[in-house]
Amino acid sequence: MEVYPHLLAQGLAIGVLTGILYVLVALGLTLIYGILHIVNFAHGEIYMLGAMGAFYCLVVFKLPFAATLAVILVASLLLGLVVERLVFRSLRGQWLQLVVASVGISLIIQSLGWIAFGIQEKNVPSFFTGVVSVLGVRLPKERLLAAAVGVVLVALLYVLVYRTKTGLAMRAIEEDEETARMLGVDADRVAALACAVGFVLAALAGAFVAPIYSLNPGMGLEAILMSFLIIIVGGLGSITGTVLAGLLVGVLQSVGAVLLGAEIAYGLVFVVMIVVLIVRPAGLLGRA
Amino acid sequence: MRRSMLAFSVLLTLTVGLAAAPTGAHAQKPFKIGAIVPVSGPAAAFGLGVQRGLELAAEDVGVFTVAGEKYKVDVVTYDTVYAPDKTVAAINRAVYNDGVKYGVIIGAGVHPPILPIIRETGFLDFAFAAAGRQITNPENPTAFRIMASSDQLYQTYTVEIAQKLGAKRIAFLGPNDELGKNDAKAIKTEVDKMKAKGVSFVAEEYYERGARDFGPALLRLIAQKPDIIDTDGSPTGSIALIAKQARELGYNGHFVNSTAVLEAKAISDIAGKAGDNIIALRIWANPPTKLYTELAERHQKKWGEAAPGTLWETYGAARWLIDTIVKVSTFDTKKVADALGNSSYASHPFGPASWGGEKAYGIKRQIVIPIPAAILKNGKWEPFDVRSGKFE
Repeated sequence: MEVYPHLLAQGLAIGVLTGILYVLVALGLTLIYGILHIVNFAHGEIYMLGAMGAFYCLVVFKLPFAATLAVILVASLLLGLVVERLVFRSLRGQWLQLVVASVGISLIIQSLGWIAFGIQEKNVPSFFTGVVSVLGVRLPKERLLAAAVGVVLVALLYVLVYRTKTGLAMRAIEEDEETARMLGVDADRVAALACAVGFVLAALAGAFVAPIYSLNPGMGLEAILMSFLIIIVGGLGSITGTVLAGLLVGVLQSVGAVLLGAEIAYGLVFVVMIVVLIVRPAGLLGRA
Repeated sequence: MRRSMLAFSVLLTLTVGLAAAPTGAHAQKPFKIGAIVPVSGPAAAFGLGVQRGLELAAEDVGVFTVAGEKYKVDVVTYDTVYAPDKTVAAINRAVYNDGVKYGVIIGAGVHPPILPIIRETGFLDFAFAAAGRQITNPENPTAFRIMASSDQLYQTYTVEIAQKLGAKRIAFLGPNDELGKNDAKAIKTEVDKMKAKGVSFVAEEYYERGARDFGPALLRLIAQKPDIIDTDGSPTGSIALIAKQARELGYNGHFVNSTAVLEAKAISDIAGKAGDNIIALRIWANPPTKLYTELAERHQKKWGEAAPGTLWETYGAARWLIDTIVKVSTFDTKKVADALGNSSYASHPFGPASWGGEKAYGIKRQIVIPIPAAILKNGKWEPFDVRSGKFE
C-alpha cells in the first residue's frame, strides 16, 4: 500500500492522543507501585468504577459534570483509604500476599460489577463532539479534552511528588521506609495518601475516558494489561518513564498500523517492548 | 408443655408427610439441557441470551412424555468465559459428571478442542457459531448450527447489498480470529462474482477482540476509499466504536455487519449520528412473528432489560428438539439427530425453519430460516430486506 505523508501524520496524531490516554490510565498504577511497591491488580477495576460512576452520575442521575467529578473524586479517595487501611497496610512488605490480595479485590469488584451494572454496554454521551482539522489531520475533540486532562494530571502528580513536603515523604518511604520513620515521617499516613491518590487517578481516568469508549464491567482488564506494559517499560515507579512509554506504545501501534497493518503493529509493540527490556531491564527511566 | 408437644408433633407429621408425598416435582424426571456458554466476561450477553432462551422454552414445554415417562426440562449452565480450555472442562463436566447429552455451545473458536468429545459421546450440540466448516460436516452428525452461518449470510447478502447501494469498493475489518479470517475469505469469494461489474475488494484489516481503539486499522482501510466497510461479526460495542472512529477520520460510506446481533440503542448511545447507515444482518426491524414479540416482552418483564440477540434462536431450537424427542420417543442422541435433521419446524420465532447446507457442508445440519437485514437510521432499525436464507 502506498503511504501518503498525510496518512502518516494522521497516524502519528492518533498515536499521540491514544498514548496520552494510556498514560492517563497508567498514572495511578505507577504511583502506587512507586511508593508502596504494590502491584495493584485492582487498578483496572477502579478505572472501571470511575467510568461507571460517570455513567450513573451524568446519565442516570443527571448530575452536572463538576458534581460528577466531585462524587467520583470523593468516592475513590475514600475507597483508596479503606482498601489501604483494611488490606494493603497489614500486608505491607509481603509482596506475594499483596499480589493475591489485589487480584482478589479485582475479581470481587468485577464480579459485583457484572451483577450491579448488568451485561449491556453503557455509554456516556460526549460533551465535545466533532473534530478539529489541522493541516488536514483530523483530531477528535473529545480525545483532545482527555489528552489535556492527562497532561494536567501528569503535571499535578509531578508537582505532588517532586515539589511538596508530602511528595518528599513519599519518596523517602520509597527509598527506605525504616529510615524515613526514624526521621519522623508518618509512613502509614503517607502510604494511605499515596494509595488514595492512586485510586483517584484511576477513577478520574475512567471518568474522562468514558465518553470515548463504551463501558462494561470487564473494561478494566484491557486497561490493566496495557498499563502494566507501560509502567514496566517506562520503569516501575517513574512518572516520566510512564509518560514516555505510553506515548511510545500509542505511536508504535498507530504508525505501525499505517505502515504495516494493524495485525502486525499489534505484535510489533510487544517486540519493541521486549527489546527495550533486554537493553534496559529496569525500563526506560527505571532504576536498577 | 402439652401444647408445645402437640405443636411439635403436628409440625413433624406435616414435614414427614410433605417429604414423602409424590409432589409434582418428584413425579417428573429431569431432562437436562446444558447451556455451555459464557455467562461472565465480555461475551456474557450472548451466553445469558442462550440460558434465558432455554429457560423460557422450559417454561413453555412444561411436562412432556417420552416412552411413558414424564420429564421436565432442567437447564444446567456451565460458564465457559468464551475460552477453549474452560469449554473443554465444561463439556467434560456436563457429559461425564452430570450426564448431560444435549446442549447449546457458543463460539466457533471454542469448538475445535471439544469436537472429539462430541464425536465420541454423541453429545447433541446446538452450535451457536457463525464460522467453521469444521463444526458442520459429515463427521459431526450430532452438531447442528442453530444460527445462520457466515457462509450463508455472505452468500445471501453480499451481492444484494452492493447492488442496492451501487457500491464499487468493499473493505473488511474483522476480529483477528477464526471467524474474521473465515469471513474475509467468504466475502472475497462473493465480491469476486461482481468483478465484471467493476466491484472490487480493496483492503482487509483485523483487530484483537476487546479492542477499543480502531483508528490505526481504519486509517489504512479508509485510505483505500471504500464504499462499504464490512465489520464481520463485530459485537455492538465494537461496531459502535468503529463507526464513531471511522466518521471522525472522514469516512462517509456504509458499514455492513454480518453475524452479530446488534442493539440499536446502544450503538446510537455510543456513536450518535455516526451510527447511521450500519446495515446489520440477522436484525428484525419489524418483529417477524407474534411469538418473537411475546418472547421479547416476557424477557423484558422477567429480567428487566432488552433480550440479548441469542434468545430467539435458542428458544426455537430447544422447542424443536423437544418436539423431535417426543416424536421419536427416545433420548438416544444419534436417533434424535437423524430425525431432527430430516424435520422442519413451523413455530420458530423467526418463521418456518428447516435444515440445509448439504451441498456446502456435506450434511443437513445448517438451520435455514428467514434472514433479515436492517439499516440504522436516527438510532432505529429500519427494514432493509428479508431473504429466505436458502443455502447451498
